[in-house]
Amino acid sequence: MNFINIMRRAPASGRSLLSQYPFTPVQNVTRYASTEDTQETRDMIDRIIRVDHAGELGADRIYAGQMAVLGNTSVGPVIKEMWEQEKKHLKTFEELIPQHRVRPTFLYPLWSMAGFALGAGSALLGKEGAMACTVAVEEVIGEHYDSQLRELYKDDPEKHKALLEIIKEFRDDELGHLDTGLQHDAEQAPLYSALTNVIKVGCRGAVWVAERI
Amino acid sequence: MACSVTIGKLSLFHLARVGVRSCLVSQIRLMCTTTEGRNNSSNGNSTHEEKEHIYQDHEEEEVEERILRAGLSFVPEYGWTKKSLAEAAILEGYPSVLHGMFPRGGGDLLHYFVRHCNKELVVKLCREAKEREETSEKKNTTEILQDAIETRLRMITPYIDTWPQAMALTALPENITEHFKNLGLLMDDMWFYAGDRSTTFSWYTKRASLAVVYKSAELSLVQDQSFDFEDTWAFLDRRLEDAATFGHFGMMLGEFTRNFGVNVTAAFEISRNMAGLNSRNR
Repeated sequence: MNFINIMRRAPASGRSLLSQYPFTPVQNVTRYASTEDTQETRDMIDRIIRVDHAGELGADRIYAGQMAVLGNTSVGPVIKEMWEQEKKHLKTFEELIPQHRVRPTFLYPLWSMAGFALGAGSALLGKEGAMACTVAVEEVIGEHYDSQLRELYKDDPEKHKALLEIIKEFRDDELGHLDTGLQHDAEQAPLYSALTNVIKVGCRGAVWVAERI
Repeated sequence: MACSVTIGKLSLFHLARVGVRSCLVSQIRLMCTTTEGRNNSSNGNSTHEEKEHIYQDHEEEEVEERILRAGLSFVPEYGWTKKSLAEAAILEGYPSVLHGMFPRGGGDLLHYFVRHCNKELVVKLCREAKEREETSEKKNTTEILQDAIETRLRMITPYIDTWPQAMALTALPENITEHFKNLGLLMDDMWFYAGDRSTTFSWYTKRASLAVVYKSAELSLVQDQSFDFEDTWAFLDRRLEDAATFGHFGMMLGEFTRNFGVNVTAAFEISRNMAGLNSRNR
């Protein structure tokens, strides 16, 4: 016995109840790969895939910029090797976007141009400059992937297994690039600490924006 | 029973003063506590209140759904208005003031209709996409989109006389956000089931240009006097053709931006050569 039953009267005469309605309700349709996920989990996955795609796009463009300047020098093959890995990462996220029905980053053209400018700009300072840029960027990306791994573990390690594997592998690749950068005299770059700090701040800002837009 | 009748009378007084939604909720809470008191004496279950509460929330949603669904049958008569909702409440056996459950009045009724149609379309598009996959039949993207838009527009033809009013309602501040949200989701679904897997900025341009086509076809539909809206389908065909041409133009633009890096490097190179700084192999 409750309010609804008290308030309810016999239906108005002259009209049959359901038969006249123009349509019957449709069963629930989901827009997402997994139906049991809560809204928060979906939002988290959405954000993670979008920002990582944007990040890998930026990384791909950075190496493209460096290759455009330093492609024919002694460090050319080293940069090319790292670039190939970044291309693989980018491709993975490009597959994940339609799979999870995630909206790609709205600032796509900006990340594309800013990445290339950063790569080419640092490479114009010489090969040490390019390596210093790599060290700074990969350090931020490594931290960023780590925090995402923590977030996913906290939510549900079983459910996000596939995504965790991907991010873990990519994190290791990125940290490998960091070591490569240090081996190739990154610290000899002009104004090393100032340069890397400026780039790090820029990258963190870009991550913050890409998570939202 | 005497107690509940008093509550019923009290509620009518409240309805006029406080607004129906809050009143309904408070009434439900009140009934909750009385039933709980009774049940507590018998079994003393501690989670009972919680369960009851969830159940009541669910029931409120169900009533909403029932009234909205019934409200649609009054739209041809009274339009997208509170009046339709009030009539629907009476038809469902509630007092007419229950339309106060919907603060946006006709707007809520309209959004319910739009969400429902969108869902129905997704079910159809999904089924067709699966069928195409199974029979490995190739269908032109433009054709799929044209089909989807036509199907979706045909869903509003039973309400065509009141549709200009509905379109005007979507421009009201309280409705505009949900209107664009639903439109965006609809465009996303159409593109997704047409096989679009883009991950670049074209994701946005595609959806936006389709929204323009859809909305202009909708405008054409409400003033279409031809048999079976033939003029509108012809109009839609032409608009999609235009969009495809513009899409080609967009691709050319994309080509230019892809080569942008090369152009910039060349500019750097030239300026370095001119400044005599070209010491590449240090």
